[in-house]
Amino acid sequence: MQILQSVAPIRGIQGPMADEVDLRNMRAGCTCLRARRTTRKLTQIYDRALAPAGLTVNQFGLLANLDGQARLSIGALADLIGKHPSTLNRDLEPLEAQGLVADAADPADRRVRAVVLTRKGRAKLRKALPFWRRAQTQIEEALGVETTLALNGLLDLTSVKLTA
Amino acid sequence: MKRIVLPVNIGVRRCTFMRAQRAAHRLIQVYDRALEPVGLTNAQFALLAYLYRSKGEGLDGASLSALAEFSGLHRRALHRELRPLKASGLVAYAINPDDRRSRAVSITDKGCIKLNEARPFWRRAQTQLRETLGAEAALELDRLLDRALVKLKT
Repeated sequence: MQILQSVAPIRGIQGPMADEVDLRNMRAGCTCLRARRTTRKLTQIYDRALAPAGLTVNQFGLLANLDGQARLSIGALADLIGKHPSTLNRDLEPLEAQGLVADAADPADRRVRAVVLTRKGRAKLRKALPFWRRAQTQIEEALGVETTLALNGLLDLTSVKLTA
Repeated sequence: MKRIVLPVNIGVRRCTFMRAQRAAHRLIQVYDRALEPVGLTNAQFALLAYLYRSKGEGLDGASLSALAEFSGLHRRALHRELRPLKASGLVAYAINPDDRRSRAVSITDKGCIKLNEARPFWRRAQTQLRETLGAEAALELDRLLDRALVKLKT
């Protein structure tokens, strides 16, 4: 990873830039930025692999997380996949329109929106599985299985520790 | 004999994308919260830092595609992050005289001041993360994310 080049002082900043190095090394220093960039790259790889199945990896993830669950509230699903509930609602719309997921609100409390995977959704998911596997294999071959497992573990650790 | 159908879920337990998405979401929450007092998101902070570096290198501005590549934001999200920066005068847009269709974004003096003001808040988020994960795990996470960025070809 290339370290950012040295930067001449810039007019407008008062006082000594004692830790200007932070800014120059933004890319090298910021874990959040790294995570976002890596996620973006992974998205592109899985999206391309899943295109023949007619799903984005984002959609594939939604269906996979609903699979095997009786029903999930939007809040619980949002937590599971790591999204804002409002973004999730928007992402679910085309899946609902295609009949891959269906509304499953608790009749006792219609205010809590919940969704369930339909039979059609499950079939779509199963059809997409080999395409997903191809992408996952591509990742594991590029990084090495051991590194991939270590990365997976640290990503999980981050999610768990930051949720507390 | 009845065939037992396992949920697909079990097969996709290895999915690196899903883990990365979830972890990135949590990280973004932590950094965004830390930067809230200065009115910036972490993406905006990163964009300003990138533009600051470009300015220090004597460049007139950065293209939108360079900003997208650096920040890991797709076009629409990039515009969403840049719009408030432009509205509050922290960045400025210039038309490239050689190619009128492409725009270059640059940091203003006001933007430099804001970036400087935001820096301790960003650093606090980094420290918080290191303390939460443990120094060793945090370093290893950075190392593996870098490795993934280098090794993965889209």
